Amino acid sequence: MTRAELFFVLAGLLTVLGVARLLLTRDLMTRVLALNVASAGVLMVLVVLALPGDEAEAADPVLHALVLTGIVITVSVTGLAVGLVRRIEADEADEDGGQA
Amino acid sequence: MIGDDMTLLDGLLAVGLLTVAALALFLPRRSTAVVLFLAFGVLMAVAWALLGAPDIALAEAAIGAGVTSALLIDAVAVHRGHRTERNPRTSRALSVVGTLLGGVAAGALTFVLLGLGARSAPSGGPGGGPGDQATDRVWESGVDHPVTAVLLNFRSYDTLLEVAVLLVAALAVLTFRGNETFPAAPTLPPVPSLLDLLVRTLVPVLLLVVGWLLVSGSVQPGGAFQAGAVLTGALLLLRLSGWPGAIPAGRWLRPGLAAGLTAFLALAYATALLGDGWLSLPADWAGALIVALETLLTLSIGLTLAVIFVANQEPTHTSPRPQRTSALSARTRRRT
Amino acid sequence: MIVDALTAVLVVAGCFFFGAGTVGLIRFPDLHSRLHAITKADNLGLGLVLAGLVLQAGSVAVALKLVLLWALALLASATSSHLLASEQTEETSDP
Repeated sequence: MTRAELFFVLAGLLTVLGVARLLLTRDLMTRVLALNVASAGVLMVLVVLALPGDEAEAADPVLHALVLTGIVITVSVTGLAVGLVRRIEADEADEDGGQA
Repeated sequence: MIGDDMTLLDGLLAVGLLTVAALALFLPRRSTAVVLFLAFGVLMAVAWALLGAPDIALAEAAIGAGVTSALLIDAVAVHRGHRTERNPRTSRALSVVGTLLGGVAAGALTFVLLGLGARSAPSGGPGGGPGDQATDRVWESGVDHPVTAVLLNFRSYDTLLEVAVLLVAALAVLTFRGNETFPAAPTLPPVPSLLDLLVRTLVPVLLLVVGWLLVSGSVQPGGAFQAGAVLTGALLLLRLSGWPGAIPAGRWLRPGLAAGLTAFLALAYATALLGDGWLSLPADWAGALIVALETLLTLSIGLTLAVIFVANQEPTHTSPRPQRTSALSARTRRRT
Repeated sequence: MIVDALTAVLVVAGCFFFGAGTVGLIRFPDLHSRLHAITKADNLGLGLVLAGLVLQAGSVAVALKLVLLWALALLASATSSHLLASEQTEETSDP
């Protein structure tokens, strides 16, 4: 198995793991983690596609730039998601505290 | 190279990544899950390096294993707990269905991806695909490193929108605080002297690394995003150790956040009105423009990520802390 | 050849210490002994791995950077374990 094939398979597994967990779990923080894992898998596909064909070529810079952009956008989404999750859980805790 | 055989290291790394990801997603304790996610980020950085993507490895180490993990650890440290679980019967049915569907999806995806890998040369029109064109025309871009050339010259529109996304995320997180002010200074007990020593030693080194990453991005892997993320680390280190001025909270907060995007937009409009077209950098100025833009972007990205962390920090449902007389609080008070 | 063999020995020794530290992390009963295990063993392991890499470094600059890495890692791990240990002593809650 070549390195590219191995990392393709790994990327596919990570993506499916992340997306499945994202859709099927109830816990909000798990969804944030799952989203990050899934995005890592998808970005890994792009990086494997960018591997050069032979010794002389350079790696595909456009795909690398896209992956870099993807990482920064993932962190923005994660920041926003964590803010939302904290706010939701704080409000739920307030409700429970009021009713208890 | 695409035809290289996998090594033992590759195999171990792949197994490690899958294991850490699965554990992070399925273990019941949140704090364990988040720390495992940090380990996942570190292993991903190694994977990027093995796949011949050093810029991405730097960015993943600084952003993924750094800022994201800090955000998550801060979120679970305040309210440690276990995941909320479903009703056990639906949970078992769901996990069976989920595993089956997941297995099918994984198989299909593997089949598609391995088929992709088998195809050899990149496609595209005359002159090769976008990757080949970019590599061939790096000399036109004003910098020597292809990824930086693509990010800040050839595809700078994408980068502009990316900076806008960061800014929107920061503004959204700031609005979650409602009527509370952005905390101007951390309310901490006196800090142990060892932490003080660490900060005094480490922050100058970090700032040096920020400058180095920024400048070296023109020639070798590096650039504004990696430097910005390391700057975030330095700012958060200062903030969490009780240094008051690290993150501006009053009237400098919003200008600081908007500086990067504003500079980028100014450049875009300048090139559109006075130059060759939207974001087409003139060839002799390109190098200097790129470095100047990257500097502002680094400062702005560093501040933005730090603001996202700090604005997420305090629980937002507690009673408002004593109002500071800053412009921010005055404005929110006038609005209500 | 000898340099390569020496590098291999040092890196393997470093990995052994990392493994020992991890075993201590898993098996020791409370926070303080776990911190003790990972701080000491991991720093020594890191030092050995970096020493092996220094032998492979092409220039003095790269070798000095590797040593600087070790120094910074030492400082960071010392500070973080100190903070964890002193915080836990104050709280006297579960680690």
